[in-house]
Amino acid sequence: MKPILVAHFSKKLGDFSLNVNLELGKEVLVLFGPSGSGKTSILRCISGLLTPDQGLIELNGQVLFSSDGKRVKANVPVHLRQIGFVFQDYALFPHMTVAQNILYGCKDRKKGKELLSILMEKMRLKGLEGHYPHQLSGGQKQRVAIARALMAEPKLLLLDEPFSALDRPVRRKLQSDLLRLQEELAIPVVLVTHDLEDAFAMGHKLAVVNDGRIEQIGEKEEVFRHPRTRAVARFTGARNILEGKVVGKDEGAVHIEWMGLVLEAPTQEATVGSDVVFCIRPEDVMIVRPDRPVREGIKENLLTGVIVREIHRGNHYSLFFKATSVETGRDYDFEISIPVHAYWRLDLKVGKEVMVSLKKSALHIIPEP
Amino acid sequence: MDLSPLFLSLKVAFVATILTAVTGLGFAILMAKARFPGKSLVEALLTLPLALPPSSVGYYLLVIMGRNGPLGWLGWLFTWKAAVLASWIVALPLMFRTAKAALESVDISLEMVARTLGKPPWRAFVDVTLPLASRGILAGVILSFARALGEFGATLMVAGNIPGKTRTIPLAIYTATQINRMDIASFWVIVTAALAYAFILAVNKLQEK
Repeated sequence: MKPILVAHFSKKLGDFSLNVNLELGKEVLVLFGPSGSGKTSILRCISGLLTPDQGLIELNGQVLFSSDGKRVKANVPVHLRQIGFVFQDYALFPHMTVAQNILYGCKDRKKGKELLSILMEKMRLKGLEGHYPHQLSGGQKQRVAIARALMAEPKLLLLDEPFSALDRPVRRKLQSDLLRLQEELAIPVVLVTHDLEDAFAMGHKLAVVNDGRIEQIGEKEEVFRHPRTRAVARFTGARNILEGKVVGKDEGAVHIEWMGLVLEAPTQEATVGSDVVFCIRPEDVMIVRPDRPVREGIKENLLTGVIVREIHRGNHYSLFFKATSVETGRDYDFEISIPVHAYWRLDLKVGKEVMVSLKKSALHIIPEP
Repeated sequence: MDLSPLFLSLKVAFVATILTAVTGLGFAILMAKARFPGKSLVEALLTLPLALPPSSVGYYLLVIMGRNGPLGWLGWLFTWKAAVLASWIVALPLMFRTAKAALESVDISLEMVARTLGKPPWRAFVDVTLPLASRGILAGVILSFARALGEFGATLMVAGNIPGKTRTIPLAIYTATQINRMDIASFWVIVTAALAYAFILAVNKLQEK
């Protein structure tokens, strides 16, 4: 499929430089990364509110920006780009009512009235037409901002931290509404967030942004499961990042020596004899039930140790597990994520000795640590 | 009693305020939006009349409008039109600074959003920033009117103190005290104080949100 949005550009911002390479179809791309990593500036460059130093930006085959660094060959002004932009603080016009705000970008008055009532319905804003922004809740403001952007019939929608100021139930509802809307409109959406849960919930594609650079971009699952760099592994919550040495490789597995143990990882790019950095997500560390014989399939990479700390996180527990190597006497802390029901069934508590299995299929060697 | 100073003062202040409002807002927009070399120098120049003694503003106007000056051909010296020019120059910094502050207080992202919604920059400015800054701009207009109404030094130098022609209220107060007519002086003092007080109340009302 030919991409709808093509953006390859760079820009210097003070002592910070932005380097972007991305292509996107009719899907949701989440730009995920820590605050100050340049996510908002990427959106501004695409929308034209900031001018890149050089590069190429194309939407539906139309060149929006093109420069070789010396001469700007094309730079379509913001108002002709047809790119919707929802700002982090909503930026509603305070002197206009909800209806006036939404209709502001409307090109055809007659059609606008119809579209207005559809959008009011879809964005759950019915009855608020005559309200002013200061009379709305945060969630309502965000919905008005999104409806206003959609009224202008954008070819691409950019959302800057759309959920950051909303509480959880409001956030969930808006997320599902947005995903539904995106499907109906069939336009590409680029969404910025620094929240891992939002990134999980919203994206088809995920780009991890760090220091103005896209560290990795790909299908969401792929980026979560197979981070290419240590920073990506860290930002996406891999938590357990370990260092070992490849000691063997065969048909079915790569063998990694770690703390005197030999772990099995799925076949992947690795040179025997080389030092490697690998990771495993906390939800892929399984606690083996002591009252049952170890089942086939989860007896991979067994470790014993003690639970040293626990944090109750609502629907799951984060357990900190100290594994001690019999051979070397060194120990290592693992983070384990376990659903609350499993925590109770296994009768876990701090100080308890347990056996864990590092799921083989989830052991991933980071190619560019 | 001769009430001509009141009507003359209102006429001069009214015309001067229109002039000040238009030019002051124009400069405010330019300074708030445009970027060009030497901007800070221009900005300082626009504020200068606020810090200068009005008599030196009067001096410059006298030079410009004098018989050999570049605007001498107008023949405005010692007419009410010269008083208008004096009031205009003296009130301009107030209008300029108040309007600029009002424009700059409007969140810049509102204009950005308007542009992403398909409006060219000038349209975004007219639809969004201008209405949101309107109270501040109006406050500037009222301040300018108050300042124009009280203008004395520069007016005295370029318009003189001709009864019925260029004698505005401040000049009438001055003249009355010179000839020891404290009853006339105090009458005009009360009139100006009442006017000024009303304007300040109006400005405060506009600037509270």
